[in-house]
Amino acid sequence: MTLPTGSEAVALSSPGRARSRRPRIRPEKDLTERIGVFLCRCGGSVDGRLDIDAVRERVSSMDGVETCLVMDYPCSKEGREAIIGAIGEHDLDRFVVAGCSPKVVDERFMTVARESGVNPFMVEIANIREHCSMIHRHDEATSKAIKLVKAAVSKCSLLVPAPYARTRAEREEVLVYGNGMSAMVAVDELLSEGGKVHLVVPFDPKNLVFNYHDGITPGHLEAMRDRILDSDMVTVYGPGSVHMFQGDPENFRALLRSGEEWKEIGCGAAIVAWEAEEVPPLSVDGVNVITQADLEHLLEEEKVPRSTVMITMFEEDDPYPGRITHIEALRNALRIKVMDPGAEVTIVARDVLAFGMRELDYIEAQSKGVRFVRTGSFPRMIEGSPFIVVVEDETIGEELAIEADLVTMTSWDQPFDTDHIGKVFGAPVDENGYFIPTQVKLKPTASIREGVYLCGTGVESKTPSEVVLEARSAASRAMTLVRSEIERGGAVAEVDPELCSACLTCVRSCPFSAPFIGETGKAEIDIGLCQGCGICAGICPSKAIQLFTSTDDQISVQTEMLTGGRDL
Amino acid sequence: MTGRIVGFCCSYCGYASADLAGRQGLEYSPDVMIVKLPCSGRIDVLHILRAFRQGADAVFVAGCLEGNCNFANGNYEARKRVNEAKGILESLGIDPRRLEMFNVASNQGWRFPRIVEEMVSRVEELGPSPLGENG
Repeated sequence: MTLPTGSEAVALSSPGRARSRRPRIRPEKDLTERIGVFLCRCGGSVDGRLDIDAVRERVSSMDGVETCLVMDYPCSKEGREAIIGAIGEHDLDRFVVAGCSPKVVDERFMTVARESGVNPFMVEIANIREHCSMIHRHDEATSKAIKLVKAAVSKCSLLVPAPYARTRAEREEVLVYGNGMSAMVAVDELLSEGGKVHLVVPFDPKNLVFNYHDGITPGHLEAMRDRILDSDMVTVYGPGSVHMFQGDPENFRALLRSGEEWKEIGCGAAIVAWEAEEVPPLSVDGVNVITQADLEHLLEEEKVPRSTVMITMFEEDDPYPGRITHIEALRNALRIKVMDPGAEVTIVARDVLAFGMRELDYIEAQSKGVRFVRTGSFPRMIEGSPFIVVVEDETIGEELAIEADLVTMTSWDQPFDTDHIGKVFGAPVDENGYFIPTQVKLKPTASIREGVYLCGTGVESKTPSEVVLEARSAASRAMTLVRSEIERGGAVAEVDPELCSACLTCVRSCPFSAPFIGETGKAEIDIGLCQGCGICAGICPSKAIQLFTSTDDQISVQTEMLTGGRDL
Repeated sequence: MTGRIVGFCCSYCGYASADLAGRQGLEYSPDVMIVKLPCSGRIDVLHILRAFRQGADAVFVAGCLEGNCNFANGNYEARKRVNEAKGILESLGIDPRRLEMFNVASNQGWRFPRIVEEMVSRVEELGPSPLGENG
């Protein structure tokens, strides 16, 4: 599990703040193929390290270049105003900025374009800072910068205005499909941000308190359930299931089954908050064992066993017992020791994995006299009263026989039905049935489909506090999406129906299921789903697909300029 | 001047690692020219062959680490197409070692100069491209 970062963290810390700024957009100009080039001195990190006037001289003589200015900081407020002024003065319909990385300044100059009536996808950035002035000697940097800016100008002259529209989601509702605590937390978070929710649960809504152990007080969950069931903003469908989920963030449509009824609803985002279920181990060597959750219930009833053995490994030879196994064991062991310091607790483990601050629990457990037995092989059990657990202690190389009133074993988490749910929502599932988030590090709750968010232990096993955090993060993300402007189009793929042979290669290779075969029998791209990666454009055997900001010609003209090549 | 090397870099990892190398001031050969692609999966055999015809001595494609592509499988597609292009280069009598696919993460600024070094040493070994001006 990765903690929410960046915009998710902002959304969490200040609910309702993560909104996009609405820029002033002017109607777009007609195409004139008049290019403006703005070279950045970047306060000495470009100018001084290369001869920017030589670059200006060589570039301003290129075809189509109407103006070529050397500026101090085009990205600053004054610089942007100067660009907007130059666009008006020279009637530019596209421009090139040469300075630092497009990864840093792209958005900023696209906004400049929007505000001055230029199509934001007609802006090209040449990186003469990170890729040039900062790493090469003066003369080498100058000649490389000339090539880089020339390549950018040549590409810019081939750009065509990409059709794009900024819209808002037609519906502000968020669909939450879940079977556990994360669904409840997500709905609660959506309500606290003033959202409207369709909650679909696979069981009777009356049973909306999920049996969750481990540090969550039952009263808290019941209060949450009452808030959800009493709210006018939540429609609960149950026992229900989602059978179809189509469209894009502007207008998702879901087909639900609620009891015996079929229903179609619209929404602006969806959260799949699916929990894996515990598959309890029944017995080992004929001796009944219980799970850590069962033990926790016993402890809540103040039934403290005199001697407990906790086995934190599977019978199968699986070296990794899951990330929360030892945390659960340590917590219960400490609980027993607090309730009855004389009780004996033994934790049998290959290796104790207590990450983060849980290391303190591990140290405390050791100091309170919890016994840890390190072993490489699964223990044997002898029935009786009490049982005898026979375990080979790796440290001393001898077998130990431990008397036990109670034996707990690691339970196996298994997400059920995720194959089917993954197909419905377009979220891929791995071989063990867990959902795969698109970018664990950057977008931990996002699925590969825009507008569909994932949380819960159906993604990965987590501690309850992590479940809560992630569910709230997914809810914030969904709320931000339905309330902000959605940009459709832009750097997306387009099919030339004349060239398309309907071979289905694009349909099969797209990770986002954007291409489909339309009514004319040719491939079409659903621009609401297209993310602009260009995989289809690269793979199309008929060369029928082009990406607006990265066509074959735009790429080859750059290589031509960069290599000083002969032809196209 | 060792030659002309074109690097097709995906915007999320290859390009970003070159950015980081630049910010860290890690020097590499100025003969390397970077073309930014949205994803390494955008690469087409066509772009690689055109770059060679235009006189490039070596071409490389830099995508995200395997399993880490921002667009799920773009870097695997890129590798397939690079392998396809290698076959074509070989049948044209151009050493396929002039073309390579690399997987690099955006935080591996140090790796970008090593990729460049690798390609430069191959060009030094193989000499100018038979399709180039000096070939």
